[in-house]
Amino acid sequence: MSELIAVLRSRTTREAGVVTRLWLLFITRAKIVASYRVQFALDVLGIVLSTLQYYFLAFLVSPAELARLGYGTSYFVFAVIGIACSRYVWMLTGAVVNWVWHDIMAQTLAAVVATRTDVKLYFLSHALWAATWASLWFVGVIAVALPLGFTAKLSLAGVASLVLVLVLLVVVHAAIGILFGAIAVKHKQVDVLSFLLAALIDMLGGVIYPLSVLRKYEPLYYVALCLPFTHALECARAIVIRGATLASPELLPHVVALLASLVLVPLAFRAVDHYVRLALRDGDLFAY
Amino acid sequence: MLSTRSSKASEMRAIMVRDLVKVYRSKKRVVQALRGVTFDVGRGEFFALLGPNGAGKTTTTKILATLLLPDGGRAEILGHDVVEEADEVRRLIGWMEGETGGRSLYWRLSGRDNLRLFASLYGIHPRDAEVRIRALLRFFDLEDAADRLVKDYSLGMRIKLCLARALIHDPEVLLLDEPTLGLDVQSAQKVRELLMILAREEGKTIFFTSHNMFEVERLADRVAVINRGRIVFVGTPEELRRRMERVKVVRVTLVSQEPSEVLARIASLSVVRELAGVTRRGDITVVRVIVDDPYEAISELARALRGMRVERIERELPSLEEAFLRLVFGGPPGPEFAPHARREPPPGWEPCPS
Repeated sequence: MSELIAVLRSRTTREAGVVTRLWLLFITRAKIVASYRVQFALDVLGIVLSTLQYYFLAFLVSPAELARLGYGTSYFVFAVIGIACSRYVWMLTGAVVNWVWHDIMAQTLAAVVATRTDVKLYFLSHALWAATWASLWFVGVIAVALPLGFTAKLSLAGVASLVLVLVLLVVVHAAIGILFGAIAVKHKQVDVLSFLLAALIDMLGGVIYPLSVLRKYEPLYYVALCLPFTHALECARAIVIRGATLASPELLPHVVALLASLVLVPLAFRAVDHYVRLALRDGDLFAY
Repeated sequence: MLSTRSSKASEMRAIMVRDLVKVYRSKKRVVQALRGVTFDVGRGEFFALLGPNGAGKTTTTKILATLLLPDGGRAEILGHDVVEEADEVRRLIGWMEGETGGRSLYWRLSGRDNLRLFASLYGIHPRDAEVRIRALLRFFDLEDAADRLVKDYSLGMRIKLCLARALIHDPEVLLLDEPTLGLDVQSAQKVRELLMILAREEGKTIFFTSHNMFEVERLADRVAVINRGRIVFVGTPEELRRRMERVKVVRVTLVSQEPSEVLARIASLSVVRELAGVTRRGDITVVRVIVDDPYEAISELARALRGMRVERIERELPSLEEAFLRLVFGGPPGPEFAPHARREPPPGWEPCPS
């Protein structure tokens, strides 16, 4: 016992910084996800299966029609970029809300709030892990697609442009995920919100068919343009299929729309403060 | 002069709670959990908050732990307001909720990883954290299980890990909700010893809730009893017990005797004010009576029961548990206030685990 007392009494040399805390929260989430081995294996299997699904579907789509719309001649390449990007939305919104909800049930969120660490860091760590896992998914899908005939017209500037677009996609959807997660702290089962967003993106965001198809249904087309995802995907496809870069004039409206969506970032962190305070007021950190 | 004295008083206070009010509102009902709770806890004091389930113990603890905002009144930890200076308060406190059986841990992480994570969240550098983690795991006999997932821990192991987490940043004030609930006798004893040393030798302030009167009696310098959101008593365990002594109880133990015959003789005595309870275990019958003058009653009872096999007639001193139950549930100390004399607990009361 005296040893324990002496150790506890000893002064610490220096404090754990924000990066250390963020890293440990990130690793915690990674270890938890990896501990669900079957789920982990199914996720990896999902990479192969969904890529194969669009490989076979591509035989049904007329290359000429796709080329006429400006998306190259391979539906497989078109769809692979769509599903790889949409995974970011599923992870950054759906998974983050799910983890927050789980931590409320397990009361680990209350334990985190009781520490000296700003709870925003906790939300940020979730978004970081979701982005990492979605990026691995992205790379995995491309890796599976390459031997099946996936080709890209990528210059060095194109690679840099693609990375920047993906970063913008991640940041904007991380903000949406954090916003939904914050709402979940107070209003609990808001996974329906993330499900609706993902469904909306799958339907209108141009994941499996070109955005121009929606021009026939104007209101839906304008709804699609309100989704930041639509703009990110249009940029990604233009870069990979047509060899465009962020400097290309055709991408300017999409880039502007994506940059404008960054307004969601401060909004998300303000929402965290707001909803955590409401939860502290009503005792919702312990209720589910 | 006055302000100096008042600032000295606040320096001596580790916890100050004034007129704390908390109301839980839902669509269906409004529950007034705290109705003006007031108490102080001195530095280095071992302070127990007692009360039946739903009395407001956990709500009070959560407010002090900055996990719940009060609707009225205020609370301070070492001079820092729990609402306005929550970050500073979090640096000073270690919070543990034992009631939920260690649910607030990450069950799919190992015990060591849980401590690593929370050490960093408390701002402890990883290098220092490793030393503390090793010492805590050793103390709580968790070394062998340190790298196993918490989901495979027993209830006792999880509670020990929760306690280790609460201690890892060496907090000045420990807020412990049922700290030994679910621990085996040996572990509970070890935890009590540690808490005693932390309070007595290290000057830590320990605020804890418990249903275990044995524990409270052994550890607490002072107790507060809360019932339906109000503090109904603050004082030492001895003072709480003394309150009960105003009601004088005499206990008669008989061997191989028909209770009905015994009761008939006792009831006829003028010195007996009220029958408090009768229990029979094997051939032993115990009768408890409330009297005005215990010494007169003992000699009268001895006379009235002559010829019967009387083993003992004695004045019964109330236990802390009886005093607590009387305070909370009110009324004369009938069978419901004498848990030894009755198998069924009173309504709303859950038996303590050890």
